[in-house]
Formats: sequence, C-alpha cells, structure tokens
Amino acid sequence: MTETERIVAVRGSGQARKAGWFRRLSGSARVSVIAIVVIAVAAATAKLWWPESSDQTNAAAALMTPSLSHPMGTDGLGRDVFARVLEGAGISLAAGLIIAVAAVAVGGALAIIAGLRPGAIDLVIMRITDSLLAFPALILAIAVAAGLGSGFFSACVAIVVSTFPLVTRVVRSDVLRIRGGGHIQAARALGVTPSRIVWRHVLPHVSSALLVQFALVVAFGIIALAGLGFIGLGIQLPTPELGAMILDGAAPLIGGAWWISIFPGLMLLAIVASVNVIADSLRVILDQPDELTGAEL
Amino acid sequence: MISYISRRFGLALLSILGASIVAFIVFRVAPGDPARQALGPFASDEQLAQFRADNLLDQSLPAQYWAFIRNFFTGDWGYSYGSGAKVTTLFGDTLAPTIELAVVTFIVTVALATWLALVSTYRPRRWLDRLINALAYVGLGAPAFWVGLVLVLVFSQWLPVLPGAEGQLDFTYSVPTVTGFMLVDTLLAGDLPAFGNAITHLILPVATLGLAVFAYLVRILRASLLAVGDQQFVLAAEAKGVSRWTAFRRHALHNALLPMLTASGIVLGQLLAGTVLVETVFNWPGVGNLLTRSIGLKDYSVVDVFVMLSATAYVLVNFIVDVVQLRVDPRILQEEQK
Repeated sequence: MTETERIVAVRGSGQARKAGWFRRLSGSARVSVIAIVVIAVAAATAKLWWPESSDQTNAAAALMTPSLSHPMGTDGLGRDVFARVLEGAGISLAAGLIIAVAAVAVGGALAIIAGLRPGAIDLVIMRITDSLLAFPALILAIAVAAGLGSGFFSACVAIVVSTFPLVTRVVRSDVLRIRGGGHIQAARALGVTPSRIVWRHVLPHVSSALLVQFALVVAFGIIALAGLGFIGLGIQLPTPELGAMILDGAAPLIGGAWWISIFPGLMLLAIVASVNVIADSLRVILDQPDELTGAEL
Repeated sequence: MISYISRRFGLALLSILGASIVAFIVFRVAPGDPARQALGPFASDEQLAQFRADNLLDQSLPAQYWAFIRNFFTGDWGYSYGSGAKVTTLFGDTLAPTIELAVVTFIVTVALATWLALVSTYRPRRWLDRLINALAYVGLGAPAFWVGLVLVLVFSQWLPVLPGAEGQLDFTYSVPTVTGFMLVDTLLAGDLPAFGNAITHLILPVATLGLAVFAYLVRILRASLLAVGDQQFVLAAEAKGVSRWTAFRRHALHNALLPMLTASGIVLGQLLAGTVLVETVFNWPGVGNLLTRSIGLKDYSVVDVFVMLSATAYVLVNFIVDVVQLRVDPRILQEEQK
C-alpha cells in the first residue's frame, strides 16, 4: 500500500471499535450473547452429559408428563423431548448462521457490484431484487422450498433466496452514498485495482450495515425454518427440527399433552428474542438507522 | 404528480412481471418432475405423458411461461392435482374467511397499537415502556403458530372460556352462506347468538395473527410520536390550555401517523404470511389452510396460484400506499424531485 493510499483510506469503523465490543453492548444484549453461547454449547455437547437420546423411541414411555428423568416429558413415540429440544436448538442455530452467512455474502456482493457499476449491471441486479421483494419473504421461502422439495439444504436455499434481496437493497444504498465520497475517486485516480477498492475502501464502510443485517437474517432464518417445518416443508421428522416438533405436538396438545409443542416453542422464542436484542443493540452501537427490517422480512 | 404516480405504477407492474418469472422458475424449472410429483411413484409412462400434455409441460419454456401468465391473469387457474376441483372454486370458497380474519386483525391491532402508543408516550411511564418492549420481543420472536397453540392451550383447554381449533362457528349453529364473511352472514340471517359465537371464534386467531403486527406497529408509532411530541405545535397547543393528552391525541397523533401508513404495506405481507401458519392451528377454513393442505399433497397447481396472488396483492397494496401517502403528505414529491 502506498503512503498516499494509506492517507486516503478511511479506516472502517470496525477496527477501532473491535476492542471491547462485548462491553459496548447493552446489558440485555450481553445477557443474550451469554444465553446463546450457553444454548449452543449445551446443544453441541448434549450427548456427553445427557443420558437420554433424541431418537430412541420407547412405546412404553410415550406421552409422559415432565419429570426428573424427562424434564420436558416424552413425545408420542416415547422420545425424550429435552434431548430433542437441545438437538433442535443446535440445528436452528447452525441453520440460522449458515443462512445468514450466505444471504449476507450474496446480498452484500450484489449490492457492492450494483452500487459501483451504475448502468446496465445495476439495473439488472435491482430488477432481480425487486422481483424477489414482490413477495412477502416467508411466502417466497415457502414457494422455493415447495419447488425444491424437502430437506435441510433446500430449506436453507429457500430462506437465503427470500432474504438476500433486502440485504442488497439496504447495503446498496450505503454503497451509493459512499461512492461519491472523495476517497474512492482518489483511490481510482491512483490506479488502485477494483478488488482492492472493494476490500479496503468500500467494505469497511458497509461492514456495520452488513453486521446488523446479519443479525436480523439469523433471527428471521430461524423463525422461517421453523415455519417451513410446521407446514411440512424443510427438515423432516424424525430429525428434531423445532418447527416440525411443534407440529408433531399440536394434536397431543389438544388431548392434554402440552409439553411436546410448548418446549420447542419456548426454545425458539429464547433464541430468536436473544438474537433480536443483540441486533437492536448492535444497531445502536453502530449507529445504523432503525428501519425495523426484521419485521419487513 | 401524475408522472410520479405513473412511474410508480410502471415499477409495480414490472415487479409483478418479475415475480411471475420467479414463480414460473420455482415451479417449472426447479429440479424434480412436476408430473411425477403430482401423480406419484406408481404412475405409468402414458399417464405421465398425458399429464405433461394437459399441463403444457411438454412445450418450450417461453410457451409454458406465456400460458402460465395468460392463464393466471384471465382467471383460468386449472384444476387441483389432488382433489380435481377447480382451483378458482377452491380459492373462491376460502378467500372470504381469510379476508375476514385479516381485516378484523388489522382493525383491532391498529386501534390497540394507536391507543397503547399514545398512552405510553404522552407521559413517560417506564414500566409501560418495558412491558411494550417485552411484548415486542415476544411478538417478533415467537413463531405465530406456536403462540396460537399456547393461546388454545390456556384459553380453550385450561380455562375453557373460548373456542380453540374449531373454525368459524360452532356446529350447533347453521347460517346460510351469502357473502362468506361469517360476521356479515350471521347478521344477514338475523341470528344474533350465532353472531356472538362467530365473534368468540375470532378472538384467539386474531390475537395470534395480530401479536407480531401489533409489536411492529406499536414500535413504529411510539418512535414517531416521541419525535413529533417535542415539536413546537404540540407545545403551543398545550400552552393554549388543552391537556397534554388532548394535545397528543389531536395534534401529535395526526402527524405521527404517516409512518403507520408506510407500515401498512408491510403489515399486509405479515398478515398474508401469517394466515398461512395460523389458520391451520385454528382449523380456519381459509386460503392459508388450503395452501398448507395443498403443500402436504404436493398440489402445486394451488400453490403457484397462491404465490402469484400474494405477490400481486402485495405489490398493488404497496403501490396504493405510495399514492395515498402522496395525497396525505405532498412533501414526498418535493423530496423525490431533489
């Protein structure tokens, strides 16, 4: 990097603020981070410390009320609901992260390309995103998941397709705002390569927006995956996906066995509310507009 | 103004066109054989060929696409793969209950959200702020179908005060179908007990569907009221001697409602997606229930019409919101011109 470029380069907000990010979060957001870490670790290590398995059926122990050996009871096939909820939480968290990484990568890349290449390329990218934004996000996810067939992978693809356009729209407006800024023109004039301009001069400026969008997509992705599971798309039983478990427990619930549906839902609520609290706090710290894109999704 | 509106309308049409291409790709080009999916693993080759010919699946993609949008916009929606019923009939039968549920939810949540936002902003009340915040996180964090199950469990199983997953009306009542809207039909029949019964059947589905919408609207309106509440004209009204409540209700509220208007387009999306998940829980005989059953049966002739219908409705409502907004707040036009 030349000295001039170093002067021209505006340091992204991320680097200076990296130290002590945890302390900068609001109190409730810190609690939320800890809650998610605890859930993730508990889910990942469940086999080591919890004796019941999530898929061992036992007709003799079907529909047992919560007790010490089965703190969340057993389901219609006698499987331990606690073990299933833990495994389901792991699946939801993993899916949420995978979906958010993919959506932010695709959406962010398209936004930067569209923002830096006005004209035909921008037009085409924005027409595609507008076409996808013509659907309420969950309905698009349902359509794509129905078209692709059931399974973890197609559910994730469906949710990525329905979320990346919003990331593109939000981030592109950021790119457009900084494109006119002197430092990018200066870098171009100095002959800095386009890829270097993207990595050093554009990305640091949109990293805040990307981070907030990332958190929102994690939250939406987890809820949407459960929604797909509930209407029979996405991950199929016997895999303990939380939405599919809620569906599985809906009929027993009417008959009095409430625990099969209620506990997976509580777990979802704990995870998604925590992520939303973190997203809100990030938005405040990073000075991002309160556009409530989470509800838009 | 005309050029602004016509440009918006053009963009709306483009979006619908784009959406139709997306829907077409999802259901025709995606991996998997629609004929095989519709007819199942035991269908013979002749049956598969016949199905493809009937549904134009053997033609070129542009020809298929043209047939797809022509049929959609002329209302020729074909027959359900599963039951053989006309898809138009299926939607005709289920649209009214869904619209009734969505409209009642919309009215109730807007009214409640407006009231709560006013009460919580005209005078600072920390406990109310916290309560609203907590409610917002639950509303946005809990899947709607699960909230529905919890409500059924509490209000229909544990304290049996409200009907649970029992559709629109108890079996003991019978009301001739005129409009399909149960509240209207019971009144037309002059059957007040049935009208009351229909209302009790609406309470839990409306609460379920409304929670997320309510959480969203209250947050928007509160932020907007807090911003407007400090402005001079509100203080001036107070200085002239009206109470703070009246100053807020008569002066601040009108100016704070604009973001609500923008939000109503998004709310429609929430309601559309919400009905899909919520109707099943309550056995509500609406479009969402039809969709869920059709997905279970892999009956994509119903699914793609639903997807296109929701995209069209969503885009058009957002266009109408744009136009109404322009009517309410002409400043938008000036900003646009800058």
